[in-house]
Amino acid sequence: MKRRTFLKGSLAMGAAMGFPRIAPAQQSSVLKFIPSVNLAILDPIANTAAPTRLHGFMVFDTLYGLDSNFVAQPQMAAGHEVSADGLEWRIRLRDELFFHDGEPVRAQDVVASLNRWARRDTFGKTLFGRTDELSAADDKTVVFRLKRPFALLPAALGKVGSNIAVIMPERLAATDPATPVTEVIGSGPFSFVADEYAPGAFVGYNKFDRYVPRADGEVGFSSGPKVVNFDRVEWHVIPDPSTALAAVQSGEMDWWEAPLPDFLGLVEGNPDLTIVQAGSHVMFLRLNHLHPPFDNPEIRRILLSCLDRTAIMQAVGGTGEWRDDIGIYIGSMKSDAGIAETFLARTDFDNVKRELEAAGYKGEPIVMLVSTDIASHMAASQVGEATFRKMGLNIDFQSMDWGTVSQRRTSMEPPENGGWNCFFVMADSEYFLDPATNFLARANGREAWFGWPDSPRIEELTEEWFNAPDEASQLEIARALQLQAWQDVPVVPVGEAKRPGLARSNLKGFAPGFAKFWGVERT
Amino acid sequence: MLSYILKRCLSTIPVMLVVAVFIFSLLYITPGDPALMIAGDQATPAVVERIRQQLGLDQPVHIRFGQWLWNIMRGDFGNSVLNGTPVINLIAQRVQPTVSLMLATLLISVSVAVPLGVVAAWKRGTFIDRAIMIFCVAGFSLPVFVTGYLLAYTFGLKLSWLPVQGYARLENGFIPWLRGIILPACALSMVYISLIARITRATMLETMSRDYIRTARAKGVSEKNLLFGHALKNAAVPIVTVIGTGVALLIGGSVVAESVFALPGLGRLTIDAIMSRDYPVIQGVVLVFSVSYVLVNLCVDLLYTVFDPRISY
Repeated sequence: MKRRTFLKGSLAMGAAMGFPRIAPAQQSSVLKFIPSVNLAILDPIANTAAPTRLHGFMVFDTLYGLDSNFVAQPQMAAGHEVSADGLEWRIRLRDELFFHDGEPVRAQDVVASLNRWARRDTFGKTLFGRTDELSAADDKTVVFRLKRPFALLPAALGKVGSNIAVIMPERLAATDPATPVTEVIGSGPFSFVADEYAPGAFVGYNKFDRYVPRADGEVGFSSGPKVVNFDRVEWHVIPDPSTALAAVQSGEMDWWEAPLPDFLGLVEGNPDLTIVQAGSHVMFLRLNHLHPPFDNPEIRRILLSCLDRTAIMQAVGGTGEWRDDIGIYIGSMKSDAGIAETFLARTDFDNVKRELEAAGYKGEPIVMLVSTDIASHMAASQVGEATFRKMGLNIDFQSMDWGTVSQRRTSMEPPENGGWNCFFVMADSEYFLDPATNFLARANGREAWFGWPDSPRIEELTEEWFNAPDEASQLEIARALQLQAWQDVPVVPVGEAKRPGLARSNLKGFAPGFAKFWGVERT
Repeated sequence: MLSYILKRCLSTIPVMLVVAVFIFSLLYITPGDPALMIAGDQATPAVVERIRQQLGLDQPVHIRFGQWLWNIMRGDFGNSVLNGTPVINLIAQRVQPTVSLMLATLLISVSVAVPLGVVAAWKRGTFIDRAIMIFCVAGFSLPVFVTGYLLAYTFGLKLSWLPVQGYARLENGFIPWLRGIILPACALSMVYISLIARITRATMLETMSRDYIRTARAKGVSEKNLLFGHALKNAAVPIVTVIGTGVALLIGGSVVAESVFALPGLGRLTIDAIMSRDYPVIQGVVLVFSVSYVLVNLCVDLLYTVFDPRISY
């Protein structure tokens, strides 16, 4: 090849590649979305991970959904009839419900799906513990026969915190609930494109043309008309936050679910970008009740009095929107009972040391599990550690990745044998709505979540709450539960941080709560 | 030659076995449990145990290893424990971006570094030599992610000439593929260019001091012909060696480049699998990397015979 020919070729290639500016990605009816983390598991009944739930609400539908006031509203259900004694619920399915394989949704599919869900979900277990029989009266009617009235039935079937009660074909719902289904067939507004699925990189969804949105209601957390304005939604997994930011800034991507709070300042004043609400999450501290020193309720209470929730949330939430005045519930059952008297952020550490000694603290090491790969966990742990040290607690700050924390926290062994004493962790706010969803505040000993708090009184009150006849009674019991929680400390709520999302300014119609792809449109 | 190639191929078997044992042992002692990842937060210990049984994680380690080895010998790399996708499919999905990145990096590196090294040797001690060596030190010192961010910011975000992230598969068109691969390849090339240019300069200097070069110059051979026709060919063996051994460097660097530019390659697959303790995927990918490395070194050994006919096998 002659040099001149080579140069001509190079120029031609440069003209083809470089000179035209990149056209924004959003020309066609495709919404390009960057999820916070990889979608690794596709079954929202078998798994509780946040992206699995997001994926679940796209592909599957639920009998009920929660509106923006956390009240259950019919979704796949056309409505329900309750017998006079409250023991029989007849739920009628809407017309024109189809699975993505073209089969109609039948009551038999619902029964099989709910049976599977109830074997994994705490709220589901509570519901089925009160259920004599669940059956399909005909193809369109699901019947619950209860042992005792249970007004929370729609709330259980419409819960938005994992595990969600999604409906799948009966043949798939026959899968062991511990085994994730690998064939993803739902009846939701989007169909999953299995051929395109590249775990850790790409997930494709097509608009499901046969999905008929509800005609009534408003778009809530998971209820209301799910009107899809895009032919297709693509999830592009971009692990590096700086690259994700650049991709949204350049217009290659439309919407980033979870930008780092520190990045929001960088996009202020950029007319092409807008900050959208993408739900919120709660930071909490988990203590291991099986081993010293946190097997001692007095020491747990002293810790509550010293914990500086403001400082921790400043570290976690930065300049974003957050609050540090939460109780153990943040939904319709929230209460301020005992918060001011409990969280004192004490600084009289000499007194604290004396109190700890009097309570029986002997200077034993306290193993704190710290996942360094999750920024919020790391930030909270570092600030928390400082308080622990000032209190005179002998903290053993153990850094590891989240996978290791996930395994270590299951250990009931003493800390010196591979167990643990405490860890900070963040969870979606939907887990903290009320006693039904907040499994972290349960205190049923070795049946409870990691840390295994044991408080018969909390369990009694929780049972009373489930059986309460009306909302006023529920509120009263929830208040008592919170006061009891400050005594027994099953969980230490630190604060709630709003999770901002970042989107191109030409996108409108974002619904409250976690990312939803219906209602959103490009203007 | 053929028997040598055959012998080398056969010698990869014990190497692979050692790698397999090493990887399996490493995963065995690493804390973490895929069953917990699958089970999620609310799972009871009974559910976690059931998942462990389903995955075969409750089996003794030697049985698990034997089973895995037997499956590998039959070409079955197993399935991802998280989503059930066959590992071989996951690897197949991810091979193209990684191979594209590596080949583009090699191409850019060799085509830039060798002339740079030759010129530096030719202009030894001059400003040009020093400038090239400063460039090499800077290139070697700058981490891939820093170079990557700078390139993405300049050419992706500010000038909008190239995409800041993502990968377009070759079957969707050559130009989109090239646009997606240029920036990561350039970012990854910097270290490699520095490495090759420095070794090229050093070996060229040594070659240029040889008697036959002086004789050629005395005979009136042009400088261009002297450098590229006589000296470079004789200096090629160490350069090819560095290129070959640098593939390991490239594998490590590709993990970073794939993360910075969101390329769905094998590097990211490895990271994701490690973070989620997806053992079959980790084992499969590491084996693929090991085989590639062994094969690249075989190619390098064979290339010696091309550049130096005195070498024979």
